[in-house]
Amino acid sequence: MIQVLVNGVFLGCLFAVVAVGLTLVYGVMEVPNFAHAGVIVLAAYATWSASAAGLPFALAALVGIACGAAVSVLTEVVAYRWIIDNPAAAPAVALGLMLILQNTALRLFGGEGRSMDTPYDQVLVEFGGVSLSGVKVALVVLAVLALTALHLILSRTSLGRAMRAVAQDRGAAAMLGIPMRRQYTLAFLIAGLLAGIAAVAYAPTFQVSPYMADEVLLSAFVVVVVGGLGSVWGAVAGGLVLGVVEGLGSAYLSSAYQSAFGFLLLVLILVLKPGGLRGATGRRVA
Amino acid sequence: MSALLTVDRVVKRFGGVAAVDGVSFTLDAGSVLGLIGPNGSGKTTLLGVLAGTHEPTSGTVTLDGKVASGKGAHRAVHAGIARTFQTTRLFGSWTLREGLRLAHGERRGRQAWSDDRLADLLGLDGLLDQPCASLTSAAQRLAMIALALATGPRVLLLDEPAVGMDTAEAAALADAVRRAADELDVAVVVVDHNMQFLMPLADTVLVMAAGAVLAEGTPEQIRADEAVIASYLGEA
Repeated sequence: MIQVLVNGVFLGCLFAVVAVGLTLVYGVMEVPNFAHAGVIVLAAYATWSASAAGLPFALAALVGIACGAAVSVLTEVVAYRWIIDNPAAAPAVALGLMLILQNTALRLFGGEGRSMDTPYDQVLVEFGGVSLSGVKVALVVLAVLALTALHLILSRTSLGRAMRAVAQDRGAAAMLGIPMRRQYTLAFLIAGLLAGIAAVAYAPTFQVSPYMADEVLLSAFVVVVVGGLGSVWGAVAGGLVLGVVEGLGSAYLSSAYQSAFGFLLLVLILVLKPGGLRGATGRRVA
Repeated sequence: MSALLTVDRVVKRFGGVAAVDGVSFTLDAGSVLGLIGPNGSGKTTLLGVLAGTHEPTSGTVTLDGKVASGKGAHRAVHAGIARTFQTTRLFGSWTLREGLRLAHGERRGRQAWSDDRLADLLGLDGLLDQPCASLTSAAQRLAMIALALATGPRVLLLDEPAVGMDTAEAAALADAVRRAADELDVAVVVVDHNMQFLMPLADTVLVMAAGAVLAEGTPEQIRADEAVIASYLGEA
Protein backbone atom coordinates (compact mmCIF):
# COMPACT_ATOMS: atom_id res chain seq x y z
CA MET A 1 0.00 0.00 0.00
CA ILE A 2 2.72 2.47 0.96
CA GLN A 3 4.69 1.39 -2.10
CA VAL A 4 1.67 2.21 -4.27
CA LEU A 5 1.28 5.61 -2.63
CA VAL A 6 4.96 6.40 -3.12
CA ASN A 7 4.70 5.49 -6.79
CA GLY A 8 1.63 7.71 -6.97
CA VAL A 9 3.61 10.58 -5.50
CA PHE A 10 6.29 10.03 -8.15
CA LEU A 11 3.68 10.23 -10.93
CA GLY A 12 2.08 13.18 -9.18
CA CYS A 13 5.35 15.13 -9.11
CA LEU A 14 5.77 14.54 -12.84
CA PHE A 15 2.20 15.67 -13.56
CA ALA A 16 2.65 18.71 -11.31
CA VAL A 17 5.83 19.94 -13.03
CA VAL A 18 4.24 19.58 -16.48
CA ALA A 19 0.89 21.00 -15.36
CA VAL A 20 2.41 24.06 -13.67
CA GLY A 21 4.06 24.98 -16.99
CA LEU A 22 0.68 24.67 -18.71
CA THR A 23 -1.26 26.58 -16.10
CA LEU A 24 1.27 29.43 -15.97
CA VAL A 25 0.97 29.97 -19.72
CA TYR A 26 -2.80 29.63 -19.55
CA GLY A 27 -3.01 32.08 -16.65
CA VAL A 28 -0.95 34.75 -18.36
CA MET A 29 -1.95 34.31 -22.00
CA GLU A 30 -5.06 32.08 -22.00
CA VAL A 31 -3.49 29.60 -24.39
CA PRO A 32 -4.04 25.82 -24.01
CA ASN A 33 -0.42 25.05 -24.81
CA PHE A 34 -0.53 21.58 -26.41
CA ALA A 35 2.92 22.35 -27.86
CA HIS A 36 4.24 21.79 -24.34
CA ALA A 37 4.43 18.08 -25.25
CA GLY A 38 6.65 18.88 -28.24
CA VAL A 39 8.90 20.99 -26.01
CA ILE A 40 9.32 18.02 -23.65
CA VAL A 41 10.15 15.73 -26.60
CA LEU A 42 12.81 18.04 -28.04
CA ALA A 43 14.32 18.66 -24.60
CA ALA A 44 14.57 14.89 -24.05
CA TYR A 45 16.20 14.37 -27.44
CA ALA A 46 18.64 17.21 -26.79
CA THR A 47 19.67 15.55 -23.53
CA TRP A 48 19.96 12.17 -25.22
CA SER A 49 22.05 13.61 -28.10
CA ALA A 50 24.36 15.52 -25.78
CA SER A 51 24.79 12.42 -23.66
CA ALA A 52 25.42 10.23 -26.71
CA ALA A 53 28.01 12.76 -27.89
CA GLY A 54 29.97 12.08 -24.73
CA LEU A 55 28.90 14.88 -22.37
CA PRO A 56 28.55 13.88 -18.72
CA PHE A 57 24.88 13.36 -17.78
CA ALA A 58 24.62 16.49 -15.62
CA LEU A 59 25.80 18.69 -18.49
CA ALA A 60 23.60 16.86 -20.99
CA ALA A 61 20.65 17.49 -18.68
CA LEU A 62 21.44 21.20 -18.64
CA VAL A 63 21.62 21.20 -22.45
CA GLY A 64 18.18 19.56 -22.52
CA ILE A 65 16.65 22.03 -20.08
CA ALA A 66 18.12 24.98 -22.00
CA CYS A 67 16.76 23.49 -25.23
CA GLY A 68 13.29 23.20 -23.65
CA ALA A 69 13.40 26.85 -22.60
CA ALA A 70 14.58 27.96 -26.04
CA VAL A 71 11.94 25.98 -27.96
CA SER A 72 9.18 27.17 -25.62
CA VAL A 73 10.15 30.82 -26.01
CA LEU A 74 10.37 30.28 -29.76
CA THR A 75 6.74 29.09 -29.89
CA GLU A 76 5.69 32.30 -28.16
CA VAL A 77 7.79 34.60 -30.34
CA VAL A 78 6.92 33.07 -33.71
CA ALA A 79 3.32 32.01 -33.07
CA TYR A 80 1.38 32.75 -29.88
CA ARG A 81 2.39 36.43 -29.75
CA TRP A 82 0.62 37.04 -33.04
CA ILE A 83 -2.74 35.63 -32.00
CA ILE A 84 -3.03 37.32 -28.61
CA ASP A 85 -6.06 39.34 -29.79
CA ASN A 86 -7.67 36.27 -31.31
CA PRO A 87 -8.08 33.71 -28.53
CA ALA A 88 -10.29 31.44 -30.64
CA ALA A 89 -7.24 30.64 -32.79
CA ALA A 90 -5.13 29.54 -29.84
CA PRO A 91 -6.14 25.84 -29.63
CA ALA A 92 -5.59 25.32 -33.37
CA VAL A 93 -2.23 27.09 -33.31
CA ALA A 94 -1.24 25.07 -30.22
CA LEU A 95 -2.15 21.77 -31.90
CA GLY A 96 -0.31 22.77 -35.07
CA LEU A 97 2.80 23.67 -33.09
CA MET A 98 2.68 20.35 -31.26
CA LEU A 99 2.59 18.46 -34.59
CA ILE A 100 5.44 20.58 -35.96
CA LEU A 101 7.63 19.96 -32.92
CA GLN A 102 6.87 16.22 -32.80
CA ASN A 103 7.56 15.81 -36.49
CA THR A 104 10.78 17.77 -36.15
CA ALA A 105 11.86 15.15 -33.62
CA LEU A 106 10.64 12.34 -35.90
CA ARG A 107 12.57 13.78 -38.84
CA LEU A 108 15.77 14.32 -36.87
CA PHE A 109 15.85 11.21 -34.73
CA GLY A 110 13.44 8.69 -36.28
CA GLY A 111 10.46 6.99 -34.67
CA GLU A 112 12.35 4.38 -32.70
CA GLY A 113 12.51 4.82 -28.96
CA ARG A 114 15.91 5.55 -27.50
CA SER A 115 16.79 4.70 -23.97
CA MET A 116 18.39 7.38 -21.87
CA ASP A 117 21.12 6.20 -19.51
CA THR A 118 21.79 8.05 -16.31
CA PRO A 119 24.46 7.52 -13.67
CA TYR A 120 21.73 6.79 -11.15
CA ASP A 121 19.39 4.43 -12.97
CA GLN A 122 20.80 1.33 -11.30
CA VAL A 123 20.47 2.85 -7.85
CA LEU A 124 17.66 1.56 -5.66
CA VAL A 125 16.71 3.56 -2.61
CA GLU A 126 15.04 1.60 0.20
CA PHE A 127 13.59 2.70 3.46
CA GLY A 128 10.89 1.26 5.66
CA GLY A 129 10.04 -1.52 3.25
CA VAL A 130 9.52 0.89 0.34
CA SER A 131 11.90 0.79 -2.59
CA LEU A 132 12.19 3.50 -5.18
CA SER A 133 14.51 3.62 -8.18
CA GLY A 134 17.15 6.33 -8.36
CA VAL A 135 15.37 7.83 -11.37
CA LYS A 136 12.16 8.29 -9.41
CA VAL A 137 13.95 9.75 -6.41
CA ALA A 138 15.77 12.17 -8.71
CA LEU A 139 12.47 13.23 -10.29
CA VAL A 140 10.80 13.88 -6.95
CA VAL A 141 13.81 15.90 -5.75
CA LEU A 142 14.00 17.90 -8.99
CA ALA A 143 10.25 18.55 -8.94
CA VAL A 144 10.31 19.81 -5.35
CA LEU A 145 13.31 22.05 -6.05
CA ALA A 146 11.83 23.45 -9.27
CA LEU A 147 8.40 24.15 -7.78
CA THR A 148 9.89 25.73 -4.65
CA ALA A 149 12.07 27.97 -6.81
CA LEU A 150 9.03 28.94 -8.89
CA HIS A 151 7.04 29.69 -5.75
CA LEU A 152 9.81 31.99 -4.49
CA ILE A 153 10.02 33.78 -7.84
CA LEU A 154 6.25 34.30 -8.02
CA SER A 155 5.85 35.44 -4.42
CA ARG A 156 9.07 37.32 -3.67
CA THR A 157 10.22 39.08 -6.85
CA SER A 158 8.72 42.04 -8.66
CA LEU A 159 8.74 40.04 -11.90
CA GLY A 160 6.72 37.31 -10.18
CA ARG A 161 4.26 39.83 -8.74
CA ALA A 162 3.84 41.34 -12.19
CA MET A 163 3.16 37.88 -13.60
CA ARG A 164 0.50 37.17 -10.96
CA ALA A 165 -1.00 40.57 -11.72
CA VAL A 166 -1.23 39.79 -15.44
CA ALA A 167 -2.87 36.44 -14.64
CA GLN A 168 -5.49 38.15 -12.47
CA ASP A 169 -6.43 40.93 -14.88
CA ARG A 170 -4.55 41.74 -18.04
CA GLY A 171 -6.30 45.09 -18.41
CA ALA A 172 -5.40 46.25 -14.92
CA ALA A 173 -1.80 45.10 -15.39
CA ALA A 174 -1.55 47.00 -18.67
CA MET A 175 -3.06 50.06 -16.96
CA LEU A 176 -0.15 50.03 -14.51
CA GLY A 177 2.40 50.04 -17.31
CA ILE A 178 3.53 46.43 -17.04
CA PRO A 179 5.09 45.45 -20.38
CA MET A 180 2.82 42.58 -21.43
CA ARG A 181 5.07 41.05 -24.08
CA ARG A 182 7.86 40.57 -21.59
CA GLN A 183 5.41 38.78 -19.29
CA TYR A 184 4.28 36.46 -22.09
CA THR A 185 7.87 35.59 -22.98
CA LEU A 186 8.75 35.07 -19.34
CA ALA A 187 5.81 32.69 -18.82
CA PHE A 188 6.93 30.60 -21.79
CA LEU A 189 10.54 30.69 -20.58
CA ILE A 190 9.55 29.32 -17.17
CA ALA A 191 7.21 26.76 -18.75
CA GLY A 192 10.04 25.65 -21.07
CA LEU A 193 12.47 25.26 -18.18
CA LEU A 194 9.89 23.14 -16.34
CA ALA A 195 9.25 21.08 -19.49
CA GLY A 196 13.01 20.52 -19.81
CA ILE A 197 13.27 19.45 -16.18
CA ALA A 198 10.32 17.07 -16.62
CA ALA A 199 11.88 15.63 -19.78
CA VAL A 200 15.27 15.03 -18.19
CA ALA A 201 13.71 13.58 -15.08
CA TYR A 202 11.26 11.10 -16.53
CA ALA A 203 12.80 10.15 -19.90
CA PRO A 204 15.02 7.51 -18.20
CA THR A 205 11.95 5.60 -16.91
CA PHE A 206 10.24 5.57 -20.28
CA GLN A 207 11.96 5.95 -23.61
CA VAL A 208 12.85 9.00 -25.62
CA SER A 209 10.48 9.08 -28.60
CA PRO A 210 8.44 11.70 -30.48
CA TYR A 211 5.31 10.49 -28.67
CA MET A 212 6.77 10.13 -25.19
CA ALA A 213 4.86 13.13 -23.80
CA ASP A 214 1.38 12.50 -25.23
CA GLU A 215 -0.09 10.72 -22.23
CA VAL A 216 1.69 12.95 -19.75
CA LEU A 217 0.27 16.00 -21.52
CA LEU A 218 -3.27 14.61 -21.35
CA SER A 219 -2.88 13.87 -17.64
CA ALA A 220 -1.36 17.30 -17.07
CA PHE A 221 -4.37 18.94 -18.73
CA VAL A 222 -6.63 16.97 -16.42
CA VAL A 223 -4.51 18.33 -13.56
CA VAL A 224 -4.77 21.89 -14.83
CA VAL A 225 -8.55 21.73 -15.01
CA VAL A 226 -8.85 19.87 -11.69
CA GLY A 227 -6.54 22.37 -10.01
CA GLY A 228 -8.38 25.39 -11.38
CA LEU A 229 -7.17 27.04 -14.59
CA GLY A 230 -4.25 29.36 -13.95
CA SER A 231 -3.63 28.29 -10.36
CA VAL A 232 -0.09 27.10 -9.65
CA TRP A 233 -0.84 25.56 -6.27
CA GLY A 234 -4.00 24.04 -7.66
CA ALA A 235 -1.83 22.36 -10.31
CA VAL A 236 0.59 21.03 -7.68
CA ALA A 237 -2.23 19.69 -5.50
CA GLY A 238 -4.09 18.35 -8.54
CA GLY A 239 -0.92 16.66 -9.81
CA LEU A 240 -0.39 14.82 -6.56
CA VAL A 241 -4.06 13.82 -6.29
CA LEU A 242 -4.12 12.54 -9.87
CA GLY A 243 -0.82 10.68 -9.45
CA VAL A 244 -2.06 8.91 -6.35
CA VAL A 245 -5.47 8.14 -7.90
CA GLU A 246 -3.88 6.70 -11.04
CA GLY A 247 -1.37 4.79 -8.93
CA LEU A 248 -4.05 3.28 -6.69
CA GLY A 249 -6.37 2.55 -9.59
CA SER A 250 -3.76 0.75 -11.64
CA ALA A 251 -2.48 -1.24 -8.65
CA TYR A 252 -5.83 -2.38 -7.29
CA LEU A 253 -8.20 -2.32 -10.25
CA SER A 254 -6.51 -2.50 -13.64
CA SER A 255 -3.31 -0.97 -14.96
CA ALA A 256 -4.75 -0.92 -18.49
CA TYR A 257 -7.12 1.80 -17.32
CA GLN A 258 -4.51 3.97 -15.59
CA SER A 259 -5.31 7.11 -17.60
CA ALA A 260 -9.04 6.42 -17.42
CA PHE A 261 -8.97 6.88 -13.64
CA GLY A 262 -7.65 10.37 -14.23
CA PHE A 263 -10.55 11.26 -16.49
CA LEU A 264 -13.01 9.73 -14.07
CA LEU A 265 -11.56 12.06 -11.43
CA LEU A 266 -11.87 14.98 -13.86
CA VAL A 267 -15.56 14.28 -14.48
CA LEU A 268 -16.24 13.87 -10.76
CA ILE A 269 -14.52 17.14 -9.85
CA LEU A 270 -16.18 19.07 -12.66
CA VAL A 271 -19.57 17.83 -11.49
CA LEU A 272 -18.92 18.60 -7.83
CA LYS A 273 -16.77 21.74 -8.15
CA PRO A 274 -16.99 23.24 -11.65
CA GLY A 275 -14.31 25.85 -10.96
CA GLY A 276 -11.70 23.25 -10.07
CA LEU A 277 -10.07 22.84 -6.67
CA ARG A 278 -8.87 26.42 -6.54
CA GLY A 279 -10.45 28.10 -9.50
CA ALA A 280 -13.64 29.28 -7.85
CA THR A 281 -12.72 32.96 -7.71
CA GLY A 282 -11.36 33.24 -11.19
CA ARG A 283 -7.96 32.85 -12.72
CA ARG A 284 -4.86 33.31 -10.70
CA VAL A 285 -1.25 32.26 -10.61
CA ALA A 286 0.03 31.18 -7.18
CA MET B 1 4.49 78.79 -19.47
CA SER B 2 3.76 76.19 -22.10
CA ALA B 3 1.11 73.56 -21.57
CA LEU B 4 1.85 70.21 -19.93
CA LEU B 5 0.04 68.16 -22.55
CA THR B 6 -0.29 69.23 -26.17
CA VAL B 7 -2.48 67.32 -28.58
CA ASP B 8 -1.71 68.45 -32.10
CA ARG B 9 -4.00 67.62 -35.04
CA VAL B 10 -4.40 63.99 -34.02
CA VAL B 11 -6.06 61.72 -36.59
CA LYS B 12 -6.82 58.05 -36.02
CA ARG B 13 -8.23 56.00 -38.87
CA PHE B 14 -9.52 52.44 -38.69
CA GLY B 15 -9.59 51.29 -42.30
CA GLY B 16 -11.33 54.12 -44.14
CA VAL B 17 -13.09 55.52 -41.08
CA ALA B 18 -11.55 58.45 -39.22
CA ALA B 19 -12.60 57.78 -35.62
CA VAL B 20 -10.61 60.83 -34.54
CA ASP B 21 -10.32 63.47 -37.23
CA GLY B 22 -7.89 66.26 -36.45
CA VAL B 23 -8.26 66.99 -32.75
CA SER B 24 -6.06 69.61 -31.08
CA PHE B 25 -6.08 70.94 -27.52
CA THR B 26 -3.71 71.75 -24.68
CA LEU B 27 -3.93 70.94 -21.00
CA ASP B 28 -2.17 72.50 -18.01
CA ALA B 29 -1.03 70.71 -14.88
CA GLY B 30 -3.74 70.71 -12.21
CA SER B 31 -6.60 71.30 -14.61
CA VAL B 32 -9.54 69.07 -15.46
CA LEU B 33 -10.76 68.67 -19.02
CA GLY B 34 -14.21 67.17 -19.58
CA LEU B 35 -14.54 65.30 -22.84
CA ILE B 36 -18.12 64.84 -24.01
CA GLY B 37 -19.97 63.88 -27.16
CA PRO B 38 -22.47 61.35 -28.48
CA ASN B 39 -21.61 57.65 -28.60
CA GLY B 40 -19.26 56.96 -31.51
CA SER B 41 -17.94 60.54 -31.60
CA GLY B 42 -14.39 59.32 -30.99
CA LYS B 43 -13.91 60.09 -27.27
CA THR B 44 -12.68 56.64 -26.28
CA THR B 45 -10.47 56.37 -29.37
CA LEU B 46 -8.92 59.74 -28.52
CA LEU B 47 -8.31 58.50 -24.99
CA GLY B 48 -6.67 55.40 -26.49
CA VAL B 49 -4.34 57.59 -28.55
CA LEU B 50 -3.42 59.65 -25.47
CA ALA B 51 -2.84 56.43 -23.48
CA GLY B 52 -0.56 54.99 -26.15
CA THR B 53 -2.89 52.08 -26.98
CA HIS B 54 -3.59 53.44 -30.47
CA GLU B 55 -0.87 54.87 -32.66
CA PRO B 56 -2.19 58.06 -34.27
CA THR B 57 -2.46 57.91 -38.07
CA SER B 58 -1.10 61.46 -38.04
CA GLY B 59 -0.54 64.20 -35.50
CA THR B 60 1.27 64.02 -32.17
CA VAL B 61 0.72 64.06 -28.43
CA THR B 62 3.51 65.77 -26.52
CA LEU B 63 4.04 65.70 -22.77
CA ASP B 64 6.38 68.40 -21.47
CA GLY B 65 7.70 68.94 -25.00
CA LYS B 66 8.45 65.25 -25.60
CA VAL B 67 6.45 63.19 -28.09
CA ALA B 68 4.47 60.63 -26.07
CA SER B 69 2.17 59.15 -28.72
CA GLY B 70 2.54 55.94 -30.70
CA LYS B 71 4.91 54.14 -28.38
CA GLY B 72 2.64 51.61 -26.72
CA ALA B 73 0.61 51.62 -23.53
CA HIS B 74 3.34 50.74 -21.05
CA ARG B 75 5.67 53.43 -22.43
CA ALA B 76 2.91 56.01 -22.01
CA VAL B 77 2.56 55.01 -18.35
CA HIS B 78 6.30 55.22 -17.91
CA ALA B 79 6.27 58.67 -19.54
CA GLY B 80 3.61 59.81 -17.04
CA ILE B 81 0.23 59.23 -18.71
CA ALA B 82 -2.01 56.83 -16.77
CA ARG B 83 -5.55 55.75 -17.52
CA THR B 84 -8.56 53.89 -16.16
CA PHE B 85 -11.15 51.92 -18.11
CA GLN B 86 -14.93 52.04 -18.52
CA THR B 87 -15.17 48.58 -16.96
CA THR B 88 -13.54 48.04 -13.59
CA ARG B 89 -10.15 46.40 -13.93
CA LEU B 90 -8.59 45.37 -10.62
CA PHE B 91 -6.64 42.54 -9.04
CA GLY B 92 -9.62 41.00 -7.27
CA SER B 93 -7.89 38.57 -4.94
CA TRP B 94 -5.26 41.12 -3.89
CA THR B 95 -5.71 43.90 -1.41
CA LEU B 96 -5.53 47.44 -2.74
CA ARG B 97 -2.20 47.85 -0.95
CA GLU B 98 -0.72 44.89 -2.87
CA GLY B 99 -1.90 46.41 -6.14
CA LEU B 100 -0.51 49.83 -5.21
CA ARG B 101 2.83 48.22 -4.42
CA LEU B 102 2.97 46.78 -7.92
CA ALA B 103 1.98 50.13 -9.42
CA HIS B 104 4.71 51.95 -7.50
CA GLY B 105 7.20 49.72 -9.31
CA GLU B 106 6.27 51.41 -12.61
CA ARG B 107 6.83 55.01 -11.50
CA ARG B 108 10.31 55.31 -13.01
CA GLY B 109 11.49 57.81 -10.43
CA ARG B 110 8.50 60.14 -10.58
CA GLN B 111 6.60 61.56 -7.64
CA ALA B 112 5.50 58.96 -5.09
CA TRP B 113 2.28 59.46 -3.17
CA SER B 114 1.99 57.22 -0.17
CA ASP B 115 -0.72 54.56 0.00
CA ASP B 116 -2.35 56.41 2.90
CA ARG B 117 -2.36 59.69 1.01
CA LEU B 118 -3.99 58.07 -2.03
CA ALA B 119 -6.53 56.30 0.18
CA ASP B 120 -7.35 59.58 1.92
CA LEU B 121 -7.62 61.45 -1.36
CA LEU B 122 -10.03 58.92 -2.84
CA GLY B 123 -12.02 58.31 0.34
CA LEU B 124 -10.78 54.74 0.62
CA ASP B 125 -9.45 55.04 4.18
CA GLY B 126 -9.61 51.73 6.00
CA LEU B 127 -10.07 49.75 2.79
CA LEU B 128 -6.40 49.38 1.87
CA ASP B 129 -6.06 45.91 3.33
CA GLN B 130 -9.26 44.35 2.03
CA PRO B 131 -9.33 42.17 -1.06
CA CYS B 132 -10.43 44.38 -3.96
CA ALA B 133 -13.14 41.88 -4.93
CA SER B 134 -14.89 42.55 -1.61
CA LEU B 135 -15.22 46.32 -2.16
CA THR B 136 -18.47 47.93 -3.35
CA SER B 137 -18.58 48.67 -7.05
CA ALA B 138 -18.19 52.43 -6.42
CA ALA B 139 -15.17 51.77 -4.16
CA GLN B 140 -13.71 49.49 -6.84
CA ARG B 141 -13.90 52.30 -9.38
CA LEU B 142 -12.11 54.62 -6.92
CA ALA B 143 -9.56 51.87 -6.26
CA MET B 144 -8.85 51.66 -9.98
CA ILE B 145 -8.12 55.40 -9.96
CA ALA B 146 -5.85 54.90 -6.94
CA LEU B 147 -3.90 52.26 -8.88
CA ALA B 148 -3.52 54.61 -11.85
CA LEU B 149 -2.37 57.45 -9.54
CA ALA B 150 0.14 55.13 -7.84
CA THR B 151 2.11 55.04 -11.09
CA GLY B 152 2.86 58.72 -10.38
CA PRO B 153 1.29 60.20 -13.53
CA ARG B 154 1.42 63.82 -14.73
CA VAL B 155 -1.71 63.18 -16.79
CA LEU B 156 -4.64 61.00 -15.69
CA LEU B 157 -7.21 59.77 -18.21
CA LEU B 158 -10.57 58.65 -16.79
CA ASP B 159 -12.93 56.78 -19.11
CA GLU B 160 -16.49 57.11 -17.78
CA PRO B 161 -15.49 56.91 -14.12
CA ALA B 162 -18.99 57.73 -12.82
CA VAL B 163 -20.80 55.02 -14.75
CA GLY B 164 -23.12 53.05 -12.47
CA MET B 165 -22.72 55.49 -9.58
CA ASP B 166 -25.58 57.16 -7.73
CA THR B 167 -25.61 60.94 -7.21
CA ALA B 168 -23.80 60.84 -3.86
CA GLU B 169 -21.13 58.46 -5.13
CA ALA B 170 -20.58 60.56 -8.25
CA ALA B 171 -20.24 63.70 -6.09
CA ALA B 172 -17.62 61.97 -3.93
CA LEU B 173 -15.81 60.89 -7.08
CA ALA B 174 -15.85 64.45 -8.45
CA ASP B 175 -14.44 65.69 -5.16
CA ALA B 176 -11.66 63.07 -5.30
CA VAL B 177 -10.74 63.94 -8.89
CA ARG B 178 -10.70 67.66 -8.05
CA ARG B 179 -8.40 67.01 -5.11
CA ALA B 180 -6.10 64.83 -7.24
CA ALA B 181 -5.79 67.70 -9.72
CA ASP B 182 -5.30 70.40 -7.06
CA GLU B 183 -3.14 68.58 -4.52
CA LEU B 184 -1.12 66.29 -6.79
CA ASP B 185 -0.94 68.81 -9.65
CA VAL B 186 -2.12 66.14 -12.11
CA ALA B 187 -3.80 67.11 -15.37
CA VAL B 188 -7.03 65.11 -15.77
CA VAL B 189 -9.06 64.21 -18.85
CA VAL B 190 -12.52 62.87 -17.96
CA VAL B 191 -14.88 61.24 -20.42
CA ASP B 192 -18.40 60.89 -19.08
CA HIS B 193 -22.04 61.15 -20.09
CA ASN B 194 -23.16 62.23 -16.63
CA MET B 195 -23.38 66.04 -16.99
CA GLN B 196 -24.40 66.54 -13.36
CA PHE B 197 -21.07 64.96 -12.43
CA LEU B 198 -18.87 66.38 -15.16
CA MET B 199 -19.95 70.02 -15.56
CA PRO B 200 -19.17 71.19 -11.99
CA LEU B 201 -15.89 69.28 -12.06
CA ALA B 202 -14.40 70.38 -15.38
CA ASP B 203 -12.36 73.57 -15.89
CA THR B 204 -12.85 73.29 -19.63
CA VAL B 205 -15.11 71.09 -21.71
CA LEU B 206 -14.32 69.71 -25.14
CA VAL B 207 -17.27 68.52 -27.20
CA MET B 208 -16.60 65.96 -29.91
CA ALA B 209 -18.85 65.03 -32.81
CA ALA B 210 -17.95 62.64 -35.63
CA GLY B 211 -14.31 62.53 -34.58
CA ALA B 212 -13.76 66.31 -34.58
CA VAL B 213 -13.96 69.06 -31.98
CA LEU B 214 -17.42 70.64 -32.12
CA ALA B 215 -16.85 73.16 -29.34
CA GLU B 216 -14.44 73.98 -26.56
CA GLY B 217 -14.96 76.28 -23.61
CA THR B 218 -15.88 76.64 -19.96
CA PRO B 219 -18.83 74.55 -18.75
CA GLU B 220 -21.02 77.71 -18.85
CA GLN B 221 -20.09 78.47 -22.44
CA ILE B 222 -20.73 74.86 -23.46
CA ARG B 223 -24.13 74.81 -21.75
CA ALA B 224 -25.10 77.89 -23.75
CA ASP B 225 -23.66 76.69 -27.08
CA GLU B 226 -26.49 76.08 -29.52
CA ALA B 227 -24.55 73.68 -31.74
CA VAL B 228 -23.76 71.56 -28.71
CA ILE B 229 -27.34 71.60 -27.50
CA ALA B 230 -28.53 70.56 -30.93
CA SER B 231 -26.06 67.72 -31.35
CA TYR B 232 -25.73 66.39 -27.84
CA LEU B 233 -27.08 68.10 -24.75
CA GLY B 234 -30.48 68.63 -26.29
CA GLU B 235 -31.16 64.92 -26.55
CA ALA B 236 -31.09 64.45 -22.78
